[in-house]
Amino acid sequence: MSSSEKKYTILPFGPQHPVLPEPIQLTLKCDEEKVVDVNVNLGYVHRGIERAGELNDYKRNVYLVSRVCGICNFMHSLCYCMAIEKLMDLRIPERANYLRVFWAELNRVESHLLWLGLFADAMGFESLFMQFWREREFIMDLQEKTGGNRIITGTNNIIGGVNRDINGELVDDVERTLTKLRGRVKALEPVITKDPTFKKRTVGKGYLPRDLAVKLGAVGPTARGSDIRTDVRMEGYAAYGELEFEPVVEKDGDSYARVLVRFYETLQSIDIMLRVINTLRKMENGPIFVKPKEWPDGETISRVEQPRGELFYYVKANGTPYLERLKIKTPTLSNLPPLLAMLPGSELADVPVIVLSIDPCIACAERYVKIGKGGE
Amino acid sequence: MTGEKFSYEEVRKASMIAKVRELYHSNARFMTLVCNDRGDHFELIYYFERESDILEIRTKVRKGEVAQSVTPIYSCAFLAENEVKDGFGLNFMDLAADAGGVLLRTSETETLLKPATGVRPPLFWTPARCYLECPARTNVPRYLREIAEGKFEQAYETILEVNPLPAVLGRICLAPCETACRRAKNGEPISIRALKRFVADRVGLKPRKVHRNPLTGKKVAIIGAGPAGVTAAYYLGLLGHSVVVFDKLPKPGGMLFVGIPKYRLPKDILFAEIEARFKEAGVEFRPNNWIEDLDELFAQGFDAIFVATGAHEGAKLRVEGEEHPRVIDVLDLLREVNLYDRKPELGEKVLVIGGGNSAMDAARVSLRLGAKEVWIYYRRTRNEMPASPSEVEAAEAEGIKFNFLAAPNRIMDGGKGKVKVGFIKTKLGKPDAAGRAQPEPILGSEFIVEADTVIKAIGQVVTVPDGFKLERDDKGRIKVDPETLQTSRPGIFAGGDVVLGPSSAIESIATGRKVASSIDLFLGGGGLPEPKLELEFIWRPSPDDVINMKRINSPELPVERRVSTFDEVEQPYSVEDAVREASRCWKCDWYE
Repeated sequence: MSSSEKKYTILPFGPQHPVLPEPIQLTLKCDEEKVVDVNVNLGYVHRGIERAGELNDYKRNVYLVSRVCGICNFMHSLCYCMAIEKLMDLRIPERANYLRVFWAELNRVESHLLWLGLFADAMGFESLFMQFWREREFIMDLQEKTGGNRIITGTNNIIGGVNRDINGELVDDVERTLTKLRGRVKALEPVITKDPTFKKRTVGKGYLPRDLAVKLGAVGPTARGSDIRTDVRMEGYAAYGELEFEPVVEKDGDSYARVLVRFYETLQSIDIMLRVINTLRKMENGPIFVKPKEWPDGETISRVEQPRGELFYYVKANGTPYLERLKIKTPTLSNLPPLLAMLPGSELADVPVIVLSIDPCIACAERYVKIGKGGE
Repeated sequence: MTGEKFSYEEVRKASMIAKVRELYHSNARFMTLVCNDRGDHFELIYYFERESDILEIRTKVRKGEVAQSVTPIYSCAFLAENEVKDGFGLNFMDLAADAGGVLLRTSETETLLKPATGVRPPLFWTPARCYLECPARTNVPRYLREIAEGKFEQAYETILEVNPLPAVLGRICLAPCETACRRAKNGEPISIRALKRFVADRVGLKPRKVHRNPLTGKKVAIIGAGPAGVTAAYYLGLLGHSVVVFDKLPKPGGMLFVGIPKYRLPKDILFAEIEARFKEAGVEFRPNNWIEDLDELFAQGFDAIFVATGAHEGAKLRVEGEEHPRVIDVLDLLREVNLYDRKPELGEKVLVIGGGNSAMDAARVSLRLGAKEVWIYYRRTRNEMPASPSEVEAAEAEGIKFNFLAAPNRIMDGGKGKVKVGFIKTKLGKPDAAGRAQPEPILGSEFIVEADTVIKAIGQVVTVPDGFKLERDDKGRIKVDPETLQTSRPGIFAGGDVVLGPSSAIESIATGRKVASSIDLFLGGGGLPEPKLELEFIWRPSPDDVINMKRINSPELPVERRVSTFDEVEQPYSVEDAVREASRCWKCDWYE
C-alpha cells in the first residue's frame, strides 16, 4: 500500500464484545470515527445440531430442536412438529392448536421484553433495561405455571399435539397476570416514544431502505421496520388462521422503527394470548394430541414466525425413525446481510445499537458458515 | 400449512441462473438453500418466497463439479452458499466470499478478514518457476487458483493481462511453464496449457467490455498480424492510440494462420479471437496489404511503426539436387493447406527431414492428406529433438516412423515422379555452444531411400524487404536495441520472429507487449503498467493433500478419426477435471 493512500483503521468487533451476548465477529473498516466497510465472520459456536438431528429418532428431535434457541424454544419445536405432522398428514385437535399459539406468543413476548431490555442496556439506559426485565419475570412465571419450566417449554410439543393443557383455575390466573402485564408494559410506552435520549441514539441509525430490505431478504421485525408487510403467522398455521390481526409495520427503516415494531408487537402478542385464553375457557375440554401411526416419509418444509422473523425447517424422512436430513434456517442468518448493509456510513459509537437492532441470535444461526475473502 | 401455495421446479444446472434472474425481477425473496448429499451428486434446493407463495428450485450437481452461485443476483445468498460450501465441500462458481461489491459501498480489493482455520495471510511473494519460465510472464499460479475456485472469468482476465490470445496459446503453446513446474519432477506437471484453453473456451471468444483509455490522437502502423503484431496492436489500442495493422495475407494470424495445421489450431478460433481483441482495442485491420516502403507510412501520418513480419521462408538443406519438384518445404505445404484449402497430392511414401515441431506437423499433415507411409529423418537422436515430447508422442501414436542419426547429402530424380534421397549415417559428437551434441557423418555409410515426396522441415529464415532500410545482422534479422526494441531508425520498432529468428508464439507475444510499452513511451505515454501483484488469501494445501492427485490429461480424438480428418485432436477438459487439475497446484508463489 503506498503512503498516499488513505489509512483506515481495521477494528474487530467481537467475537467477544460487551454488547454481544454471543460470539460473532464483525470486522469494521473505519475512516476515523466512520465505518466504511464491514465483513462478518461466523463459526464460533457451531454445535452440529443438524447432524445430531439425523442421529436421534424423530420423536426425540423435539427435545433437540427445543435447544437450538433458548428464548424461542417453543417455536423451534413447533416448527419441527409441524413439518413431521405434515409428512404424516395428521389433523391436530383444535385445542392443541390454540395451546400452541399461546405458548408461541408467550415466547415472543419473553423474547421481545428481553431484547428491549438488552437494547436499552446497549445504549447505556440501565434503568429501562431493569424495567423491561422486571416485566419479563411475569412471563417467566407464566411459563413455569403453564409449561412446567421457566425457559424450556418447547418440550410441551409432541408430534401430534401438545402434552399439557391450560384449564380450570389456571386460566383465570393467566388472564389476571396478562392483564396486569399489559398495563405495566403500556406504562413504559412514553419512555420509548417521548424520551429524547432514546430517540437520539436510534432515530436515523442503521437505515435500511425498503427495496434493499427486499433484495437482501430481511425477515421479521427487521423487514417490518422497513415497511414490508410480512409475517409468516398470516399464513395461518396452528390457530393463527382464526385469530385476526395485522402485522405491525413501521415506515422509517431505522433502528427506532425496529424498536417500535417490537414494542407494539409485545402488546399485540399479549392481546392475542388474552383472546386465546378466552377461547380456551369457552372450549370444552377435549383431546390435545393425536397419536402418530407410522414413521414419517417424504420431504417437506415448514415455517414459523419467530420473534426475530421467519424460521425455516426442511425435513427429509425415509420411512424409518431416523431422518435423512434436517435443515434449520433461523431468521438471524437472513438478517445478517441487511445488517452488513446498514453499518457502512454509520458512526463507530452507533455500531452496538445497530447490531442489536436486528436482534442477533448467533448460536441459533450457526450451521457451518466460515466466511473469508477468496472463498478459502 | 394452510393458505400457502407451493410451487416446485426442477431445472438443469445450466438454466438455473436464468430462472433465478427471472425470480429476482419478479421481486421474489431468497429464503434459503438446502443441500442434500445423494451419493453421486448433490441436490441443491433454493427456496424463494413471492408474495405468499413458496417457490422451490432444484438442481443437481455431480460430485467434484462446480455449482453456479446465485450471489451475482441474490447477494444475500452468500451466507447460505458458503455454509453449503463448508459443510459439503461443494464449490460454487462466482461465489462471493462476502457481500463485497454489492452490499458494501466501499468494498476494495484488499480484504479485512483474518481467514479462519487453514488459511493464513501470506507474508511475501516470490516468483514461481512457471511464472519465471513464461516469456510473457503470465501469472500462472494465480489463474490456477482462480480456476480451482471456479472463478473462470477472473482467470481469463488474469491471462489477458499479458497475453491477448489465450484460446490460441491454450492450444499451441510449447508451455515452458509445464517443464518448469515443480510437480514435473515426478513427471506429472500441472496441465497449465490445457487449463488455459479450458478457461478460454469456457469464457468464449466474444469481445469483452474493456476499459480503453481516451484517444491520444497518435497513429501507429503495425506490419504483420502475427502474434507479436496482434499483441502490440491490442495493448496499444487499449492505451488509446489509433492502430492500423497491415498484413499481406487475407486473414490475420501470420504464422499461426499459415504455419500451424488445423488439427492443432482450428482457424475459426484463431480468427475469432484476434477479431475480438481488435474490436476491444479499436484496431483497424487492413489485409492483403504488402508494405514495401516505411517512409510511405510516415507520409500517411503514422507516428510510429512496428515491424513484425516474421520468418516465412524455409531454410535450405544446402545439398545437391534440392530444387527437385518433389522436394517441398513444410511452410509451402502448410500454406497450401491452410491458406488455399487445397489438398496437394503427396503420394504414398513421404519423407520428412527435420526434428522440430514443424517436422511433426509436416508428417501428421501428410498422413491426413492420404500418405500411407511417413518417415521422419533426423540427424541427431530422440533426446536432442527440439519438438515437444507430447507432439512426438502424438505423431508416434498416429503411426509415423522415425529414423535417427541420418543426414541427407544429395537428392536425385527417381523417375516416374519419384525422388531418391541419399542419406549418410551420423554419430553424436561434441556439444555446440547451445549444449546440443553436433552430428558427425560416418564416412562410407551412405544409403538411398526412395519416396514420392520429400518435405523439408529444418527451420525458417528471416527475410526483410530492402525497402525498409533497416540494419540487419548476419542472419538477416533486424537489429534492435534490446531494451526498447527500437531499430536503427527512430520511431520504427521491430519484434517477433523478425528479430528473434524462428521462435515460439509466446515469445513473440512477450516482445509484442514490450514493444507496445516502448512505443507508448516513444509517443509520450507512460508505458504499460506492470501487472499488479495482489495479496491473496489463499488456501495453502499441505503436500499431503495434493501429492497423490494424478495429472488429468485432456481427452484426445481416437487415432482412427485423427488421421483421416483435420478435426482438432485435443479435446477440452470438463469443468470437473479442470477444477481438480488446477487444485493440484502447490502454489509456490506466496509464502508465510
